Amino acid sequence: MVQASFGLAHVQDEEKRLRQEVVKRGFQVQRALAVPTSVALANREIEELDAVLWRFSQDDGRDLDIQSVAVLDLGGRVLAHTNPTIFGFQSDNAFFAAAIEASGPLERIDASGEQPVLQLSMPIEIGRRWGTMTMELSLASMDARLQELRGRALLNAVGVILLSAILLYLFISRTVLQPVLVLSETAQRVSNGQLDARVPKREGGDQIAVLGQHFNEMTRSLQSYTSELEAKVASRTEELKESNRALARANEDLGIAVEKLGLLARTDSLTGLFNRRAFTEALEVELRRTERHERPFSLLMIDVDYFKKFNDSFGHPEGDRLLIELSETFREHLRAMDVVARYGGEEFAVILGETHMEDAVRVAEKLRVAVRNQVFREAGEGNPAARVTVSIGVATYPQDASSSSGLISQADQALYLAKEAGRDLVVSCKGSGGEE
Amino acid sequence: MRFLWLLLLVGCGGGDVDSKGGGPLVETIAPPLSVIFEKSQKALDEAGIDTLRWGLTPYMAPQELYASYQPIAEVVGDKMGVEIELVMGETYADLEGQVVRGEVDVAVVSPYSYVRAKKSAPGLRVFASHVAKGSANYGSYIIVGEESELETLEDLRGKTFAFVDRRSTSGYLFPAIQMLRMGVHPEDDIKAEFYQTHDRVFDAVVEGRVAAGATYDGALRQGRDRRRDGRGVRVIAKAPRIPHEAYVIRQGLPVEVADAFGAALAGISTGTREGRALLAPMLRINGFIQVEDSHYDAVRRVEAQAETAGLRMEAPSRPLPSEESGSEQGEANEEQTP
Repeated sequence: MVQASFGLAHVQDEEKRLRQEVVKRGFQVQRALAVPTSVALANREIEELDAVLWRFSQDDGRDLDIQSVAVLDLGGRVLAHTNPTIFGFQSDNAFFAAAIEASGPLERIDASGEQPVLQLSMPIEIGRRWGTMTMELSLASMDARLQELRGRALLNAVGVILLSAILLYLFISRTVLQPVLVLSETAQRVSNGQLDARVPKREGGDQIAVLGQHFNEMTRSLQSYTSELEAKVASRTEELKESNRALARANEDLGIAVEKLGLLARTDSLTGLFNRRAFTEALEVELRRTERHERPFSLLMIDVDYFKKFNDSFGHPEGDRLLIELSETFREHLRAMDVVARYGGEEFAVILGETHMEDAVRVAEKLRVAVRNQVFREAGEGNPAARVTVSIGVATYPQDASSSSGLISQADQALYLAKEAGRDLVVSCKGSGGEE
Repeated sequence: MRFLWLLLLVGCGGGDVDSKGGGPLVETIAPPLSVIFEKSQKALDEAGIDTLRWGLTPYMAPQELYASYQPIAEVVGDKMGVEIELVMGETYADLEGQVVRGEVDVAVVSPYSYVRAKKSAPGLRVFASHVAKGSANYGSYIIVGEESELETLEDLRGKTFAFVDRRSTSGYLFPAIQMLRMGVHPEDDIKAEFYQTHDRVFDAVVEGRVAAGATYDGALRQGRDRRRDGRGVRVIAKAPRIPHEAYVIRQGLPVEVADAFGAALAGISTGTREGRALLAPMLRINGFIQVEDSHYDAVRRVEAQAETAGLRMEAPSRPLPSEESGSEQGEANEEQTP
């Protein structure tokens, strides 16, 4: 680019130089011609002027791009011209008028014609002024030379610009485009999740290299942040799972507890049998079931005979053990569907589902006998106090009572009668009888 | 041939041309001068010619012409080994007639006379012309007296005008055509008179016997030098320049004669001491050059314009009775160009 403008500047310099050259040459020729012409003018020898100009026009003038030379007298009349027929006043020639007025050399460009013409004039002075010489020089060959120079300069300029453009393209492609492309591709890979993608390291500390470094740093940060995040999420997930498991366990425990709680509320803590409340509920349930199916059920009220005496003899802990063993004996001789409950103290209640009076008495008898034959180990074989008996009252629904409380009352009445009758007896309600 | 002549002009020393001028270059281009002269001698011998008649146009007083050309004729004759006899034409037309009829062997004729004679005698050959004041052509001027109030050709209408001769190129043909170009008819618009020689025209103008006249550049200088009264002329118009006179050889003369005559003339120039001595009477002639017929084509074009304009070129242009005394002023005639 610089060279290109140098080239064009060179052409301008050259134009100025060539112009000066032509002007200089023109004036040199005029000075040379001034000697013979001044003599001829002084001698008033027009034919001599003609001979001088004719010789000149035939030889040197054409080589020097001189189109015409004229010699004017002091009044501005053309005395001699390289075109011999031009003579006398030339009123249409403004340059002639200016030339005779000028006291020194004159230089002018006449661009009115097809080709620009350089006009020069100088006074003819040898001792004094005798006249004026004018000259017209064609600038065609100078213009041709300039045209050639311009063409060459333009060609040079175009060449230089093209070369510069190519070099610039290569430079930018190498230093900017290529790295930017790499950067873009890497960014694409990163955005596709390939967080370990990196821009290759570049030599030098230019902006692109710095950008690449920053990009890599950013990607590195992104990668470490992402992996940190993933670790956090994983750990949080694990924690949540653990919490859920604990919750499930807690729920399970809670269910068991609740179950236990319900069981506890309905179970006698010593014997593990239904307590009185559970017995009452079970009795109500059985009562409704009997009404639905119209099948009778029976209730046994069992009381341990002389339990106070046993307690006094062996102590309360043994008394409690006796109660536990009795309850186990009852369970052994009853059906699974039958409900055994500790009614209070040394009194038990048994609900025999779908059992009428006679079967109920037989079951009661079986229980009485089992207890009577049982030896309680804490008391020992030889100890008569180790033998325990029970008294049992039997009532059947709906024939003996129409309500649960009535049924319990009837069974209690029968139990009372058994006690009265000597104990170790089964008594059915309303004298339905039993045996000892 | 042309190269040879130019070399001779520059390098030859007059008398002993054979050995001095004949370098290798000359020998390769043309035969040595001795050969040229030998061939000419032989041709003349075969034709039985021992004297060449050299005709001159009377554009100046005959004695002046003779004084100018005689030394040259002697040198040329010596070289060619032949007698040369100078013949003065009484008028331009007279000499032209002698050339056409072959009554002279060699002649120096005005350009216009040559063009005319060539038409009548196609075998006529031009072989040389001369260079004067460094130029192969010369100027024709229309002049008025120094004190005259006439400024342009237009001012000449109705005035008396001095021409030289209808066969004169610078004293009639060219200035007449210049007048025509400027819109002044040389026969109808002015009173044309013919003064036969250029010096008479000059004097007639200076002395006011005519309003204006036409003459050639040599006569201007000659006139200024000749007149002691300080009276001069002023140029009011110029005609195009004219090739100098034609040196011709008559129809039928062997071409070797022309070659030898030209070679002998070429040895004479103001470039040598001998040449300057020979040309001193014709001070402004520098030497001689070889020319061909086409050298005079410019004259033919002007002649055609004259014919188109209907100028009476064949009319007589005899000396004016009143101008018989014109020869009195011929004492200082130096210049030899019509």
